[in-house]
Amino acid sequence: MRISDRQRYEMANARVDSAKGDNANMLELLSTQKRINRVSDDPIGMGQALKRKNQISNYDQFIKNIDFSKGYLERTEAALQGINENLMRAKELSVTLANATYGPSSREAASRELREIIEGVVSLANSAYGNRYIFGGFRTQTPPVNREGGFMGDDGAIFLQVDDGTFRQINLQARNLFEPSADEREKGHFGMVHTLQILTDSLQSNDVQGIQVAMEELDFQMDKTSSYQATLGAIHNAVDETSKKLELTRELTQVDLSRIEDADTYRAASDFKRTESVLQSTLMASNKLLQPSLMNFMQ
Amino acid sequence: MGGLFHTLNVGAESLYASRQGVDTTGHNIANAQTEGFSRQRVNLEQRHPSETRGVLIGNGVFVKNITRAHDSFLEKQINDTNQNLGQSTARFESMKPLEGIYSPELNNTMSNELDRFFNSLQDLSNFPEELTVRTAVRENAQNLVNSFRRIDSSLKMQREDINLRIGGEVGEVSTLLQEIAKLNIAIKTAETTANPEVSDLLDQQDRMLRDLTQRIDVNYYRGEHGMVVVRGPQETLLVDRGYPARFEVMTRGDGSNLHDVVVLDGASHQPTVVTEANKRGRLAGLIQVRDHVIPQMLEHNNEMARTFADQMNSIHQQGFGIKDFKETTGRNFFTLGDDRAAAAANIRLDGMIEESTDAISVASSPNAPGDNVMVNQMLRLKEKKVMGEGRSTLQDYYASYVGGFGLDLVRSEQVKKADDTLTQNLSARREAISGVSMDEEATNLLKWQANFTASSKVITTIDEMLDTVLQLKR
Repeated sequence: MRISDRQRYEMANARVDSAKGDNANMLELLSTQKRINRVSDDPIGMGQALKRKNQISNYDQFIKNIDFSKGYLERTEAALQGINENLMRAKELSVTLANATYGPSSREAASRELREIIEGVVSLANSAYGNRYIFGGFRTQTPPVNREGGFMGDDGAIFLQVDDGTFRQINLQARNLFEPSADEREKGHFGMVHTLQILTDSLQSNDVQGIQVAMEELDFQMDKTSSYQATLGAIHNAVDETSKKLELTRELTQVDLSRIEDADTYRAASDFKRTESVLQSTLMASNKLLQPSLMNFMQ
Repeated sequence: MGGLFHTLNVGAESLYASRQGVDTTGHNIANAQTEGFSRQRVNLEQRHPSETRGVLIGNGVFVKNITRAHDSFLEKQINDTNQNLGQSTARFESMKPLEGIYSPELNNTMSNELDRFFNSLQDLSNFPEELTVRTAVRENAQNLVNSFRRIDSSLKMQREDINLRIGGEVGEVSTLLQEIAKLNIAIKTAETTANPEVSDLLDQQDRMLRDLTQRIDVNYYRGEHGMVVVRGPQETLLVDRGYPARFEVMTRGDGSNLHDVVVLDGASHQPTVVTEANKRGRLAGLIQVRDHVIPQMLEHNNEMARTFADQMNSIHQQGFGIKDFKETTGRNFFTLGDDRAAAAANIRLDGMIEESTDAISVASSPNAPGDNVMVNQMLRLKEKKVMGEGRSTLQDYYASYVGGFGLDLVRSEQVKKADDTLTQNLSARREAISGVSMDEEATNLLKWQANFTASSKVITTIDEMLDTVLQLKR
């Protein structure tokens, strides 16, 4: 085959170009440490990487949601625990003072302590997490329980997303905790604060009968509080489980993502070295190739 | 005839032929790097012998003509692949900048913006009554809206750019047609029976034809007097003898400001629109990207913006806001404007939300600031298959349409590379036949020089012989 001079120069150019191009690609790979820098680098891989990135961002958000709900749940637990302790103290007082050995003055004194207890219970019922009242349902900006024990909140159930497609209720619908349902009212039960109020009034008026009624009613209230606590515990456990699962899935997805879009560092480095030496030898060879011509040997 | 003067004449002719050889070699060397040049060679032929005293004696040499080393079939093949190469190159090169709009290394891709928006909705679900969270939702919604609009305007900008290129390309083609027609006249004038081909002019015209075939879909053949006839798409006559057709752009009447390509040839009085009919060459590649690839992507983006806004609105309309808006409902989150076909260009936040974040309505009942029922419904949108008639989620749709574009780009790069290789092979073959090799020319120089020296030897010998003859008569 005849090789024309133009062809030789063009070939030399094309080879240097292609060697330089390879070298530049490897440099990019090496400096970004990413295999996919452009859509066209791997369109399918890009789709997969996008999906994984979405998932990771979802998981991060779910973990954030869970952290928030844990705080919320713990605050609720603390409030219920406090209410329970107050009720127990009231119960203790009622048990003690129902005994005939105590006189009206002791009962009078106890009624004063009970007023404190009522204050405590109402204040716990109006506990807030951040700036939202935890027992008020959706009415988070107004105190849900007034001094008389009336429930001012609503029955809103606050759900938070804790996993793909899974929403979990993080608040307790507390109306029934503070107010008796129609059914309970029929059976002669009272509201929580109302019960304490009856006990207070009975102590003050030295009404032993009344104290005994209130004492029984207090058992009912404590049971109810405990059952709320149990529900809350169950939610807490479930959220904990989800949280552990999320951390693990997030890790795995991250590994997956890295497998899809990250460059193999060692290989990238050695490939870069290789393209560099290819470039150098191409340049050297081109230099040698372009020199000889019969013209140089003519006198 | 015979005689010393005859021999002197043979020597002179030989001297002339050798000089012509050096001359042509010099021409070849001078044009060694000229684009489209075909090396020329001197074709020598021996003269008819004449009979002298019953003997046929040679009458020496003469330069019959000078021709170019050229393979017209190869030339046809080159022009054929050129059209494919032009098309695939233009297609690839005008698609390449589009991927920048979707590059994963940019952090403000649609996918990230969607993620951030939904994450801020998650925060809103946690704290529906917080002003800062509401503001964050509004900011992220604003960014998302901007993303839709950015993609829309970037694509349109690229389309505008390609449109300008089409105009430029048409201008170039028009100039080429005129030049080719001019050369037709020059070729016709220079051509004689003795010199059936005018190498240098043909080389120039061939180079222009190669340039032309890169740009548009044409057919050509050499007709009478070596003049080329060029036919374009839809049998339009682009060059006929000395007459070029007018190749122009016409702005479309639909207000899009896009160009149509028209041909005005002598055959018809009406301009022929060849925008779609032209299937190959750079022009075809550019037009494909402008009229098919980009509009498709614009529509995908529109579809996303439209569906997303509609779905969000239909949930948001059921919700109640907080504070001043706590008892009112039925508000939109996004507005799309009147032209639903241009949703991505016009999508905006609803005016109320722009004014006050309290209008963001996520409560299912009035007077319930902690109510996050609607926001949870919005969150479900993320996983809901709302796109493509219930086949994919927003994110999947985005990934698949961008991925589809990526595949298209990869494919077009491969086609371009294949066409490149093919053209390079053919060009190499052409160069092998027509290109100038310095070594060969150097050999030729030596050859002609030796010939020249020998010829002059003949003349000096005759001169000496003449001297001898003249001295006879002393």
